[in-house]
Amino acid sequence: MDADLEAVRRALHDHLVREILLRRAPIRPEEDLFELGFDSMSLARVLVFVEERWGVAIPDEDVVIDEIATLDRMARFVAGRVAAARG
Amino acid sequence: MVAPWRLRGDDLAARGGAVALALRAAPAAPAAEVTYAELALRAAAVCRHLRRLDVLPGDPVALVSTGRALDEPVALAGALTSGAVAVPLDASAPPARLARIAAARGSRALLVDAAGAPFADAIDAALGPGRALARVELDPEGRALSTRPGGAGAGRGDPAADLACILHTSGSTGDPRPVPIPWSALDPFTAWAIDLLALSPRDRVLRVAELIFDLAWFDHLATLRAGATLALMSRRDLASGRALRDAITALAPTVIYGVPSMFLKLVAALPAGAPLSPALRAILFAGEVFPPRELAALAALAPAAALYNLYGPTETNVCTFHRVDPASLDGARETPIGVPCPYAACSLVAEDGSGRVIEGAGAGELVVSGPTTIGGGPYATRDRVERAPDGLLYFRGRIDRMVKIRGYRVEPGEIEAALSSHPAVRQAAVIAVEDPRLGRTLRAFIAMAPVPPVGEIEERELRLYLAERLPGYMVPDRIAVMDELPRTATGKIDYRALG
Repeated sequence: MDADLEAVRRALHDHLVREILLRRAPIRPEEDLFELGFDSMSLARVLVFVEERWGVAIPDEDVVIDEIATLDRMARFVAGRVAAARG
Repeated sequence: MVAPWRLRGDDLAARGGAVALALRAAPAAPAAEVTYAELALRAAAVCRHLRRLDVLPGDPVALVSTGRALDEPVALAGALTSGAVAVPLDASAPPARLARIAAARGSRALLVDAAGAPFADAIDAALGPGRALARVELDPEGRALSTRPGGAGAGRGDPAADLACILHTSGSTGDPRPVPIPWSALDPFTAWAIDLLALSPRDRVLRVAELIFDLAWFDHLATLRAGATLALMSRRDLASGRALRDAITALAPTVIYGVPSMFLKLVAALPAGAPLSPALRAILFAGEVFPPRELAALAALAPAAALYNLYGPTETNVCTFHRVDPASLDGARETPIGVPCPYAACSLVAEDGSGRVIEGAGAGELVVSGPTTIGGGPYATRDRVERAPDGLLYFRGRIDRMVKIRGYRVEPGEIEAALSSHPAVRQAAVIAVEDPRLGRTLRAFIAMAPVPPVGEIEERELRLYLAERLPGYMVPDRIAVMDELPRTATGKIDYRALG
């Protein structure tokens, strides 16, 4: 489970940096993503990425902003949904 | 001639204990309220700081709030009641772009929330040594905290122009285009909107659009002119439908004015059969075509709310409107943009170059004149509009290549110019495509420069390059490299072949 969480965090980090927030610097786990420019379109893109990568569709309305506001929390949220979907 | 209405500190103060601002800062916290008397005091404090920085009436003052708490309406009220011209900056745009806009407008100062200080530092760094903007920082309550003088480069405005603000739209040649808006243009619009909605001190108007949009000027100015309450939520509450729904439940606004994509998200987040807040009595939308099926769904969820489709580019403000009849919503037929606002003269001009004005039914380019139109008009919108036999107007698309991305106006030419400025790019073409999950997104195609040899350039590097120059919504999702861009028989770029 911990390994899964780490893998999810790494994948999310790379996707956020390379594709969504378009940064040259890495993101710290506790950094507020919204202060880095994360917005509604970013959220839609993350959800598309999660579905393509792990096959888990998360509807926008399931997302509580506080649960995805940092890389760390987003990784926990996504890893939890992935684990739940795999039973 | 009667002087146009303007926002004045004395008028705010005269409303005394009425609630001007209500902010829901955190999901569980009760809304923090600011009375009109208190708003007047905090705005006056901003005025004093601006005066200390030698800002005179007519001078442009840049304004940005990264947190969008109480500081934003206070900063705006402070700038406007002092007679300064507000130049709102997009908190999501790269600092280099904002520095260009601030410098081009000759901004004498920057009003910024304390949390946005690093952002303001980045703008100063982009302006270069000795050219930093004078700055007033506000805390999240809207209390002016500190002032610091700026460097050279600030300009003086012309008080005789009587401007309230300068907004910016995407420019086809590469730089954002300024749209100066005088009080004489805002007066008829806000008066009309207040009358249309019978907006009163009992109303709570949800604060939605970013200040760089003309929609946000309804939120602030119609609300404060009517003595109603501006209901504020944090910017992040706009990021997901669920957060938006919870914020609306907590704030119980009576009026919401937003782009259709926001209402779509909200509708998707409502549990089946659960209506929207019963307090909601008016929904206004603009900026994009509302998909008919989703509009019918929204109307069903807000049976007590009047629905209005408003139309008009920044250069004209709202110039046509339509009150939607819920009974007419069959989920298929599109909603008209309606009839001209009483202050706007709207005509349809034939697209054959003859300049012939189309009377009666027919389609042509919409041309607008009147007090809310830039320079009084006529302003050619480049929008194709059809007048039906019953006199109602319908939006039929663009005559040029401008597209709307989540309500933002985007000139593909501005992105093409930014791409072409990269040394590895010889030529670029940008189009909008429909993505089933993301909605309308941008796609770029480039031909590489042959000499000097630059080697392989990564798509990611080009997107990074754009992200340092353009706001996020203007960075294409995909950039495809081609040997040559497709051409039409006449040698122009064949955009159709790319889509």
